Amino acid sequence: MDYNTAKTLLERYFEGTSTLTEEAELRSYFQQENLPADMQAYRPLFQFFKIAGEQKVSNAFSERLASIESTAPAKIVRFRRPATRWAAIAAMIALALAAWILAPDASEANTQTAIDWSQYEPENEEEAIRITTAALQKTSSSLRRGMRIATNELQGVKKLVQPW
Amino acid sequence: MDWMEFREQIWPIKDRLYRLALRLVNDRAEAEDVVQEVMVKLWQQGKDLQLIKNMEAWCLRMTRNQALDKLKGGYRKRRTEITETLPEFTTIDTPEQQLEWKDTYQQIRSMMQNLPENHRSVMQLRDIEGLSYQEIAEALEMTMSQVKTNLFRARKTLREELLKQSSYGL
Repeated sequence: MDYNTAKTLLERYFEGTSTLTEEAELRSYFQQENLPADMQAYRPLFQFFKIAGEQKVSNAFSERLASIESTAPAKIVRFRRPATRWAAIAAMIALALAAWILAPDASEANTQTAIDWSQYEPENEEEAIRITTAALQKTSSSLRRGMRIATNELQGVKKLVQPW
Repeated sequence: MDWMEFREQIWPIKDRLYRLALRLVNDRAEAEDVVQEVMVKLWQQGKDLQLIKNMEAWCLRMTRNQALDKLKGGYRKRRTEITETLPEFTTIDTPEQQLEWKDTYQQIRSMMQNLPENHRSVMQLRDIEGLSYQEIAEALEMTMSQVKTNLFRARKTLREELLKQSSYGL
């Protein structure tokens, strides 16, 4: 290859527009001993490419690779999950039931007739205290009953989601 | 795929995989480990290996990813540290010329190691392995435009370094 062609190819190389064939020709050109002064700076680069391309794995390593045959494909172990999806659905149903049981009965509220509270007005202090105490006891009893029902339902849910 | 088929397809490219790994991790033993890990993973893919259309590109991609994982995983060598035996430039006769050549080789290698990884990988596959832009794009998961840009920048950087060295006397 003459100097002018080499110079042109070298410019194309650094512009990134050279083909594989042209790059091979450049590598050959830079193998020669006597190069023009302005081309000598690039000789180490193309010599490096040639030598780096000849590197191989060691013989010992090649023998090591042969042992790969004995490595079995890794088995993927899938754990069977307990029926957590169904347990979650059952828990949701139980909670919905609990909420329904504890919720005040809307039909009762609708059928209640207006109460004439004036007949229940206490006439003295003792009667007022008695009526108030009775009302509070009734409220307390309802609350305890509600707590009992909620506790029973939650126990049921706990049994469903408990791991086997 | 059985072992014989695996060997027929993969063995011919093991040196190419090794050279790419070496360019990235800059250590011979680590590069061989990378190649071994890639080979084990490939072999363990079993029959899925037959579904791969471009085996070489796939292997180069795995090698690059494995090497980069190794670098991220705490293995770090100074990029200019020389840990491999330098190849012999067999056409040089005198010991003085051999020594001069080794010095030159180390300098060029350091220049390449100082390039960003994507520039270095593209240059490795084009200038050392002689792959086409299309093959490099497939192997490195880049567009053709990215391959050309990375190669242009890598060559430009090395040209500037070479001219600088030349003015100081390489």
